[in-house]
Amino acid sequence: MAIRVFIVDDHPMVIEGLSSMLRSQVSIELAGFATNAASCLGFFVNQSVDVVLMDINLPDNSGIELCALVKAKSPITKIIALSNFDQLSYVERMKESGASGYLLKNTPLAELMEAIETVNAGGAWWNYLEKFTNQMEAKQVMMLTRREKEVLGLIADGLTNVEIADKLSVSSSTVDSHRKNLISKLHVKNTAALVRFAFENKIIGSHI
Amino acid sequence: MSRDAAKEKIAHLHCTYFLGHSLFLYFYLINSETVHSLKFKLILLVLLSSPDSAAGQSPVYLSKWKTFDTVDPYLRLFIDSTNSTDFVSIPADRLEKIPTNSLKQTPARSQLLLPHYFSITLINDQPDTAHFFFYISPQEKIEVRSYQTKATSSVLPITKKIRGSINRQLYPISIPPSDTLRCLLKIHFQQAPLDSCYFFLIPSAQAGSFIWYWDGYGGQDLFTLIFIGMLLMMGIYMMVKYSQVKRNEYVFYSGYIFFMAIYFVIKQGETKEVLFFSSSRFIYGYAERMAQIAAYAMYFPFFQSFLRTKQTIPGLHRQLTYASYVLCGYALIDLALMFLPHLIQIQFNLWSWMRIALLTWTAYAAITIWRKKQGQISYYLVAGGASLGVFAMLAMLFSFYYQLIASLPAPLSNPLFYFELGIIIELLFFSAGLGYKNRLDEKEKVSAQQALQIESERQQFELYRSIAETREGEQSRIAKDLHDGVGGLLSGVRISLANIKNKVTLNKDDELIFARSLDMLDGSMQELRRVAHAMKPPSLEVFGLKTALRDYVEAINSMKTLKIVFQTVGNERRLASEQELIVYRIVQELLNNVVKHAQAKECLVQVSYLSAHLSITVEDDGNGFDTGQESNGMGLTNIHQRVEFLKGGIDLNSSKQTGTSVQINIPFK
Repeated sequence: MAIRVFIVDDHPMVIEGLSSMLRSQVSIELAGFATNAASCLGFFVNQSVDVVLMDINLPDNSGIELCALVKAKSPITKIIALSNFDQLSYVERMKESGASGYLLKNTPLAELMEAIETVNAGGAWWNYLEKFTNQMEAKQVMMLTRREKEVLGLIADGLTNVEIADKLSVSSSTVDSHRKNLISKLHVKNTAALVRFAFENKIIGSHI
Repeated sequence: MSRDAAKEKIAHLHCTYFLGHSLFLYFYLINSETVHSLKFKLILLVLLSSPDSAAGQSPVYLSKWKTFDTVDPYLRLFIDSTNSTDFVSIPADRLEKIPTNSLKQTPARSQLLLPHYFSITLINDQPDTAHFFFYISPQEKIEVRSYQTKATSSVLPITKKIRGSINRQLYPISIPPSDTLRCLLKIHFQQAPLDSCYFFLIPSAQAGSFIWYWDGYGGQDLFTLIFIGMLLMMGIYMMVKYSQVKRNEYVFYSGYIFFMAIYFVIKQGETKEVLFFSSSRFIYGYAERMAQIAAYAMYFPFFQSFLRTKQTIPGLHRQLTYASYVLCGYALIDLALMFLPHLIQIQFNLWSWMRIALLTWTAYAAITIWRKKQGQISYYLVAGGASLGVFAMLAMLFSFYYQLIASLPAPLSNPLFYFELGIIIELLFFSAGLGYKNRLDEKEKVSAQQALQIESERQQFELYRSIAETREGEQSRIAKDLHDGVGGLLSGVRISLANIKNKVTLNKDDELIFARSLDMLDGSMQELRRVAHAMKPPSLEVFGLKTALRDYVEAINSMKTLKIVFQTVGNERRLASEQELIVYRIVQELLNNVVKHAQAKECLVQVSYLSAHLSITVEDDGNGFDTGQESNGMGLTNIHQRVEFLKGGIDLNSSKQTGTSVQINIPFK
């Protein structure tokens, strides 16, 4: 049974290109297309498809919101974002809105096909996301920057603002601003508590 | 009018000088007898010679005597007795015997601790030298401050000056033949209290006949001298103050104080000098009047500039100006009258009425100011004037009813003291008022300056923002056009080409060319996205600074040359969109520096949303740079400017060992 695919893109040329590309595939049945969010939603009033290839940049609404709306109307429909945006934030937003995959528009046909099939089978296609290496969630226990550790170490050594300022050759107001930042960041009440924190975590002037 | 009567009149008018600031002047004019109510009995005894009188033991005999009931020790009163018929002549056979012992024990009630000046003029009309002794009872200390004789040939040369004191002894003086002796005596009433005093002038056996004058005076006192010193210092201080603040009221105020001081100096000088030359009395009188006129001439403009009456009470301002004109006019008339001695009566009457007019004017001005409620400043002025008025009235009252204060210690027993006290209090109020006004002006100046500064900052901000907005708007439009328009078209082309590739069979060479073209097309699209993104990150406006920065960091990370750790602390708070863009640009610049120059392996970007501000740290482990060197071409100046524009702070620190660490703090509005 062919996978029913719907295309949403504001560029007719893209729709045309994609259509002719997908028509050549036996496993795909092109169910329709829309050039804006409204007509897309109109389609989903009484119909449904297996996979939607959705552009993010649409004239009347963003793909991010459209994605959520389509998912609300037709939960079984899988959505793949097909966009020119190559920023992580867009990928994440689409994921949050219920999309199952994210592809850039210059993705080769083979990968597009693979993605459609994977998604249709209930999988996800976040290869693009992998490009962003990271450990975004890797919450560090110590949120202190090197400079802040240096200042904290000197505070723990019992130096005054002026002495620290002298030592680091900055103004004492800069030191004070560091001190306030530290208090705010570490959720402590005062400098004494800062010093305690420094000792508990072994951040002392000489170590830096 | 006889010369004596004129002098009497002068004396009365002089009294009013002291009391001038008081409305009691009216009472005086209604009943000039009032002034005589003050009693201080001075009995002048002229004794017949007695060979033993020098020893002070034998009884002495009165030849002439007079009781001066009207000698007022403070208010200058003039007793001139050229006519010896004023004195009771006692026939020789009825000469009264006065035992000196009894004189010493005169009962006393009132107290007079201030030194008093008396002058005596003796004219020896005999061909022989006349000898006299002074004696005063009760035994008080007499100082002969000076005396002089007038040689018949020359005009008032001072032939001899002596200083010394007579205490419990007779003081001898002698007068050359056909000469006049004028003698100034200073008497310290040390044996107070007393209410009468006997002053003896004892001719020696050789004395010829003589004619004599007697003049009694109120004393000079330390308090008045200190008071004058204070006035002068205050006047000088006000001049100094004027040189600092350049406000007219200080000139007028110091003028007022100086002329007041001059007035009191004249009063003091008069005490000594006038005794010698009764003609100088008129000069002093004139000088006194002029000093007062000048003081008033400063007083009114002081009112005007102190209360800015020109702006606030224009009606009063005009009237005060007229008052100043009247004063000038009066000064001229008075000067003219100086050359017309026979019109002395008019001169004094004019001055009396002038004073009444001035007082009325001042009172009217004070009431007007009070009614118009010219803020707190006017209270200082009115309070100062009122306290002077009250004290002047007190002084007047005490000089009429001297016994009220007679038992008080000096200087409280001096009516003049109350007038001086009034002036001191008035000056305190005025000075406080000036200080208060000065502070108000300063405040106004500072707030005006601040307003100006705020305005210029705001304008600068507006300018910067409009430039930034225009530029960013333009960039954003171009970025959007590129990304959505050109990018979309290229996407379409890319897909179409891929389609053709699937449909058409190409030979191997062509396929290679085709594949390379597709790659180039992919490259162009990627480059297009990069350019568009650099111009205006679309995620910044939509998702905010934090997301946009993370996108930027991830874009760099995806190049795999540098590992950037992105951290956030606290809950995100949005700034104004133009501020976010500026912060974004700053971080972009910092990260560009890291990528281009630092040769770092790792980098930390930390975005902290703290209670009052946003703190962003960019730290790398690269090779650092010299922070002291401003021309490092890394856009640091630009970063500093941007941070400053956002009213933020920056801590930039770099070393070869540890790398560079930059923290910027941007306050939330």
